[in-house]
Amino acid sequence: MSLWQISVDEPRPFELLQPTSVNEALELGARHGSEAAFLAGGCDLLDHLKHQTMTPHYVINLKGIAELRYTSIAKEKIDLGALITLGEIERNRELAQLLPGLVEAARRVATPQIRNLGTLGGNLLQDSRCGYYRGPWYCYRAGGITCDAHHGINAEHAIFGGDRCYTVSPSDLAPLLVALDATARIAGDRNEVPLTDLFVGPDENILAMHRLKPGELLLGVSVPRRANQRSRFIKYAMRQSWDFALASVSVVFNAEAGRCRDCRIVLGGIAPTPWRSFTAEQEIEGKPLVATNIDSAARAAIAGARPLKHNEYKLGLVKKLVRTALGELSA
Amino acid sequence: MDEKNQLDNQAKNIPQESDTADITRRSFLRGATGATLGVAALFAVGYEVSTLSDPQSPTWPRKTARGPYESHYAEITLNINGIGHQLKVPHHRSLLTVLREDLGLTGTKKSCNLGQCGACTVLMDGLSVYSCFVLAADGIGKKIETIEGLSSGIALHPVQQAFIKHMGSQCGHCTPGMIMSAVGLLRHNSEPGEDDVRMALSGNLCRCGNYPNEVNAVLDAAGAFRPSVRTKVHDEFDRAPLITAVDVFPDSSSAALPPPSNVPALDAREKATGAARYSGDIGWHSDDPVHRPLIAKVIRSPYALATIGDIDDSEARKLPGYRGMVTFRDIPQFQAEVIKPSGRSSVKSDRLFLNSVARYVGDAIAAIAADDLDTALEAVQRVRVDFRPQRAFPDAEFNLAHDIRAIHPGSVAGFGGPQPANRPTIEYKRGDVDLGFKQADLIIEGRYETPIQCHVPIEPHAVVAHVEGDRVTFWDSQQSVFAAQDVLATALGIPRENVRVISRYVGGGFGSKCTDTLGKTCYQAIAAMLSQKTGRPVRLEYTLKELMFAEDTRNPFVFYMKTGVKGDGTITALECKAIQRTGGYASSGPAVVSVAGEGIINTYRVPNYWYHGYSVYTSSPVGGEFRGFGHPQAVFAREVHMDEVAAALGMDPVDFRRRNSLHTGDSIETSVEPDVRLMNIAAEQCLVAGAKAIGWSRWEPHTVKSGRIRRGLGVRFSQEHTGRNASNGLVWMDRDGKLHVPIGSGNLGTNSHTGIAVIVANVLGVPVEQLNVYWGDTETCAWDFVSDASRAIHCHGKAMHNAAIDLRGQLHARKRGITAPRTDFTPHFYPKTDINPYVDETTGRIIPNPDPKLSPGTEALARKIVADGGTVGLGFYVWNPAVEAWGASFAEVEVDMETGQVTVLKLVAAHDCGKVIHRPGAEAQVHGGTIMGFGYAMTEELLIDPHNGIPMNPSLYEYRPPSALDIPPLVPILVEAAVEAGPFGAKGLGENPMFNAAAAIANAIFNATGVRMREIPFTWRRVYDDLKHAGKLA
Repeated sequence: MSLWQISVDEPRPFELLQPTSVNEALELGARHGSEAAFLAGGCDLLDHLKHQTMTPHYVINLKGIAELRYTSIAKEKIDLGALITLGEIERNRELAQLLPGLVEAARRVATPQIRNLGTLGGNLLQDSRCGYYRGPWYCYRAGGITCDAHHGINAEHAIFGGDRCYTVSPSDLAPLLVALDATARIAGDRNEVPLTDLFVGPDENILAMHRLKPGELLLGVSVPRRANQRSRFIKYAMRQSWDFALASVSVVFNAEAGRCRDCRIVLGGIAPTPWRSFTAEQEIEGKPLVATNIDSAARAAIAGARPLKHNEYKLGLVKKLVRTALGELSA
Repeated sequence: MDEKNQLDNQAKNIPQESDTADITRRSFLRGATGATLGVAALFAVGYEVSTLSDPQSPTWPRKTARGPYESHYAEITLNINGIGHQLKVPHHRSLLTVLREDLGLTGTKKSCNLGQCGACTVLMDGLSVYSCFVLAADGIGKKIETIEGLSSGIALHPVQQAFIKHMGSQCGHCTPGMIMSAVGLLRHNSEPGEDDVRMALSGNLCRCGNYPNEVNAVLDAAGAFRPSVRTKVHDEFDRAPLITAVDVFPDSSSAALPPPSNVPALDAREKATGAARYSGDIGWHSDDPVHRPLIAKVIRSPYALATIGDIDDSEARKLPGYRGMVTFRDIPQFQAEVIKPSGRSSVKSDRLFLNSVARYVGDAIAAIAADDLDTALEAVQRVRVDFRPQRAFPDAEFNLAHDIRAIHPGSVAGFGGPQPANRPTIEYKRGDVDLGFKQADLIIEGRYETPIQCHVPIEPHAVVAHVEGDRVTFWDSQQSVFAAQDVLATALGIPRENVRVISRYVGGGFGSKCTDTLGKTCYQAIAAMLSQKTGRPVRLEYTLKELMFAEDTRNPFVFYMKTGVKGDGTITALECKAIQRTGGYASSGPAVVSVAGEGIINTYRVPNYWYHGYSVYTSSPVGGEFRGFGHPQAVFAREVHMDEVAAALGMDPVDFRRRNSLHTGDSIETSVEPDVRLMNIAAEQCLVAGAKAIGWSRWEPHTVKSGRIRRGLGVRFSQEHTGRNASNGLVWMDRDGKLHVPIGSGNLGTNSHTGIAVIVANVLGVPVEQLNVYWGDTETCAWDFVSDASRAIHCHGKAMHNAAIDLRGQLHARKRGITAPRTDFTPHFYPKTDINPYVDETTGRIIPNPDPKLSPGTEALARKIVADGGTVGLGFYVWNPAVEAWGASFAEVEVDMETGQVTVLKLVAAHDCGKVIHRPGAEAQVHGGTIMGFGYAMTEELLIDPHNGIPMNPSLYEYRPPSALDIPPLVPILVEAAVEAGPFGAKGLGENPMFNAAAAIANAIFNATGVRMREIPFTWRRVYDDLKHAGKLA
């Protein structure tokens, strides 16, 4: 909080643009470039706007684009539009049957009021919540030359994937959708990208959490439907409401003849991107879910972790999360 | 240059040549201008540290560039509560702002304004949303419902009725948002269970901790209410024999005391309907005393220590709608008497309301006013301040060890001003500790630490100041209107009679809104200066960050404790050195470190003790008044320490407390009198009742526990607060026979005003509803000292009780034919108990034998009432230091030895609060304070970057006050040990439940794991690291 941010909590005036189609939104984005920001539910952007850490001249409101709000359940796949709200996911009974982990994740985001405003797209693309980055420290991610968390208080930072910057991905839906092998549908230069490739770590790009280029828009995600699929999401946070995850686990696999096939174990809140734990998956892939395998997977999930001075407790959380999720799915 | 020379040079403000080259490089890298030398000197550490991005640089290093400043408008129609409104609003305006400011619907409250608290909740197409996070334009085509739309005419919505019935509001600022969330729930789930209700309310923070009542109210509205297990109150009270001679009823000669009252809170309806107008709501309605005040914004230092050169607002002056600026150079110099236990001092306050040297991040330097908020925000960013940053000194132990004088000309804050490091702020001594330690069979030592806690009331500070001629009126959110009147008059250099302070509703105080000394922020004076300059009323409202660290906070402490005991468990000696961070200014620091000392020494029989406390200046947020005022810190340290002593002796922790406890009649040392014999205390009964409720008979030592998940029991036992200083009482009957009760203490939501009304009603033998009760205006109410220190019921209530007795006597005299209006305005009081020494806050002297005379304002009020044909009763009371509250709390916890996660399974809180006057009010204080103390114990700490003094987590996401889903089952037990000095025997209660959680949970964690927690909060990180350090990780 620099001089003015302490006393500032409303946006600088901007012009609100209200496109009604994706093409119109893309055209506006191209026309205004870095002078515009895209608004979905507003739960992240409004925080930046109200602190005036972002002062765009134009705000392009996506909520008027009907073609972005869809939940389409077909035989082969489930398509979710970027502008459906987390509350709509939470209350969707069909989704609760087909993708229970997704609904569990949506239910654990923040509070009921935020879930009624926040969107799928916004949750996936949200910015780092590192307190140093969002504050007045001039760190790498803000364009500077250091990571203050690294030698500061880093209790909520990464145990995997840190590279000069140690922020964590704050999204609850991203790791679960990555575990579902979701595809991101993008308008602009590209069409479809595996969702896991949409996120980027500081080793590659220290300034952004995802790869969307200026001129691109996330349209939605597509999740393949698989028979006998089981999914589970568990989030640990000190408060049962409001808080971002200190650690989360998303488990997805196909239960075939008592064995786990195509299992995915993705950790959240512990790395700059949703973190797929291949080492943990190896312990249960093709095997029945019994206590010994579950225990091996839990221990494997923290193999290679590089905790910082204040976040070693996350190792304990990850082990417990993996063990608990697998245990509940084995029942 | 070695470190000592470096420090000396810092103190003398001499630049250090060797740093020049590095500074130039850093400046170049970040494109900064100015303020380069000091920035490098800020960081006395070896590795590469980020510099603050230059706040004056034109290109903020994020995202988008700033362009020309202009608003874009849209004509929109919004459907609010079924009515269509056509409005012209700027694109960037939130729905919340439109509701409140364009439509005057201030029932929806503005609080954090960042979607982190829930106070602004409305329903949009039936779904609860944060209106501060909704652009007004996004409300088009939606059905928006606010609190004002719930009741049609006189009939209230069932949820509102239930809130009134179950005391769903304490301060009331979270109430409208919470009710809307509940209404949203019941629309689609008419048979919710308790978990459904908690989930529906999980996005509405209640800082008063009133969740149990709120949940019960919603369940009742749904027809599903059953007295919840979580808020069960034991029916049996342990009653100590009463020693009162108070004649309660006109026709009764018995000493019977009235049972606790259950009347609804006096302002329940206003709060449940959103009609209650808080100071931030004033100015948006046609019937407000001021309309559309100017908006002030404060210019605050981004540096923890900086001198200040030019302050240039020339760019701001180009804005149409900009109205002017005041800086520290404009404010009147004033002489201030600083609090001192004895003697008289003409030392100035170390803090002004605008400062020439910035001494903590957020310190107020200057302020601007503008026609509207947009202009004010633009203006405050255009003002160029020449800050010259110095090295920051955030660590208290370091500052004390080196007698750092960079912040003030003395490292220690004393009652007489800054003083050297070898002089403690306060000392309490009894006997000979060295001898006592020699007599001990066992000596235990320990170091204990507590963090900065933020009040975070749901209502941020908001004031409207209106200067007219030589008079100023403040509509403030203020716990203590009379103290504020006094202090602000002194700060502004005007007579007290020219200042009027009005505060009808306070959306949460907890000590943060008690302007009772010049050492406070006195933000109101900033608004007054701007009003005087511009000739218009001016509003100053805090943002969340200003609330969290620019305003005062709770002092963090380090305690070094040493206790000697005999083998049989008797304490022979106790020594405690307390080092308290008081921040950039003293504020309440010296008083807090003194009260902490009383907390350390006044619970057990200790023949030899030595407490020495140091309030140390540091480059960090300032410590002010905060619920408990030193006790939460001291009780945590001492009760964990005593648990260590008991463990070393192999004694049961409860047995150890019982063995050493003080009893009625024992002697304690207080700041007003060195040797006081305790009036009635139910210490033993609190322990026994609490132990039974938690199931203490199940207690086993930690050595028998095993497994990954372990359970434990813990206890906390201590003397508690019940008041301070003097109060006036005034009760009157008008010519038409109507009774009036003008209460001088503030309405923070504690419901002390309801309790005081009950006291007066009981004395006069009338129903409470027959009284016209009002409060919160220096012009119309009886003077009271301040509304803090758990004193409203015990002190102001006693004075009002005495006034009611006096009025009863006046009315009896009339009946007997004596109708001449009174000419003697001596107040009624009981000489045996009611006149006691107290500290005069303005001079710092102890007044040993106070004259029971009314304050001039009260007397003037009384004379006016009589002149108008009314009958007036007058009362007086000075807190009797022999009156002490007492309490014990118990916790059962479950610890996961793999992760450090601690689950609190149950909390039991037993409080001796004397006679219970108003049962719902007393219980609400217990669960409310316990929940706030639970946050203090488990999650809350404001972290300060050790390199530059910047608070790292001033957001509710990272500060973590508890939500409705986070609180453990809680059993409150009220134990009545009535005292002759109290009104119907009542003591104080408000602060005391703050002590319930931390030590009991720490001791329970030890009982579960064998690992001793000596620092709060018990975050997963801290517990995990301590388990690992002890080799006990699973």
